[in-house]
Amino acid sequence: MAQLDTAPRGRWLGQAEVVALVALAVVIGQHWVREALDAEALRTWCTMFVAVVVQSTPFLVAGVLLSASISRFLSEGALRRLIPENPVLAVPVAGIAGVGLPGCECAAVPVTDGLMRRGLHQAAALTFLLAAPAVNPAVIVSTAVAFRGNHAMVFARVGASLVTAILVGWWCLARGDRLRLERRARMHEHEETFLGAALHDFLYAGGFLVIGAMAAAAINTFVPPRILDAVAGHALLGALALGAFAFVAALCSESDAFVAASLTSFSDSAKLVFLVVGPAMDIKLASMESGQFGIGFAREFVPVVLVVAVLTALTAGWLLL
Amino acid sequence: MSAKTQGVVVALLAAVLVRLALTGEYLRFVLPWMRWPLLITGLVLLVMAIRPALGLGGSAERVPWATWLLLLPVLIVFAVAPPPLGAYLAERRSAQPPPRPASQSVVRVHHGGGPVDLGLDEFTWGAAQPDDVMGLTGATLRVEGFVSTDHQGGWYLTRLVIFCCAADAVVERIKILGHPAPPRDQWVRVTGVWVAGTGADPATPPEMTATQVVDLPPPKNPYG
Repeated sequence: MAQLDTAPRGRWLGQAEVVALVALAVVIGQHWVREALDAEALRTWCTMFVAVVVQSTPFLVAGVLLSASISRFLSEGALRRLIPENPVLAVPVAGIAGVGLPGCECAAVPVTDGLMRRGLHQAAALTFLLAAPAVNPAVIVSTAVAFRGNHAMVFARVGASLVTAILVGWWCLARGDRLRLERRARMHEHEETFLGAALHDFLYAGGFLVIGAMAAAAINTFVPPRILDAVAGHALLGALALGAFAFVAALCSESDAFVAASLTSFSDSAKLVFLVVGPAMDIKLASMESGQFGIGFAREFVPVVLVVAVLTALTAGWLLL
Repeated sequence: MSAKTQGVVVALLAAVLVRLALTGEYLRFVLPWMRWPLLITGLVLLVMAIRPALGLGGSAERVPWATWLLLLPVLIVFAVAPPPLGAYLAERRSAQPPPRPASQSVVRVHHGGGPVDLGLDEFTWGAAQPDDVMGLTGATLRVEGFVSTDHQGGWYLTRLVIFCCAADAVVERIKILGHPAPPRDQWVRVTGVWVAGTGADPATPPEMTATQVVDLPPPKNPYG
């Protein structure tokens, strides 16, 4: 956007006015535009895309408000009393603390940034990021409902998700300074109003949420799930295929158990891989994390999370299911 | 992106959320309980955006280029007005077996009298049970859904079930026999009789022999 920012502009027609005028033109010309875009596949993509954005936005807004509240009201002293000083212990405590955030992935990203700003060790904050969408009460209840009577699945999901988060947290700790995490510089906090900070966090994460939603909608529209059936019978390939499906489909962690339960041709272990990978890492989260913490960080973090999640889920499936 | 543009972009997104919630169009995308969260979110975003949008403040802090993409959902909602998901998705996902309904009270169908109204999910659930616990055999049933087709010229009474948003839609369908196919995506009410024994295997939908097919207007909430 650097070019746009420096582009010469008329005194009466600034950037904001151009955006407003284009929006107005589309509203006026909506009937004409609708005919031009009249293709079934494209309309289906549009519905999926808007659905993901509409579903995620309230959670993202809750996340940025919570993040701004953490910055404003949670003192570093209070955080230090809650989370152990020693980062090796702080990682599992942060993972278990994820039980307390009944939101989805989108809320966790800005909250993690807020916790880091308050001085939480980055390994502990990233553990929280991985655990919060997977082990909160809403997810536990929906998993129990979707897999009625199969309590082993609920325990396996919560356990494997927590273990994944903690293992990745310790890995971050071991990487130490070599894990390059870009934090954007913030204005002096006393200069930034509460709403200003929340708005800025929203603008920052929202664009990357939209990129993730575009990709997830394309996968859900254009790739039929039946291509998965070819490998359903094979134990390992089936599990890897559902892990990949969880990454690209980017479903909300509150609803993915229902989709997993409907994949009846797959083994329970493969379904568990789907349930553990999805909340920890998917295309939407990868996009938001690369926006929040830098591309270089995401290039390292995303594959590590995927590998750890798949291995942990396979082990849990072998032990518990 | 200038502070003023940031405000305008967020205000437009807020307006879309409020519009979807007020017009009921949100039901094409998410579950009914999302109405109030969407309204509140829209209002919170408006409060956050109003000062920068009017040029009364806000920070000129840089935002990434991706922020421009927040305009995309706004433009799509106004320009495309995305319709509810329908036959296109149902046909592409048709190989996916329907889910076992989460909590299903057993409705016993009473014989005699007029036709019995049944939800499509109740029908497929009843057909999948081993010894016809619902007593579907021989009863005249009435089920609603939209029309989808297959490559062999058959047609299906179809519903999409969503659990969170439209992206996780799962297909439930009944194959209809004995009546020519209405246009795809047309909502219909089919009166007919279950072909006893079909639908036990979750991979193939149950079948129904239709005696009457009536067109319906699309419902407000397109997902069941």
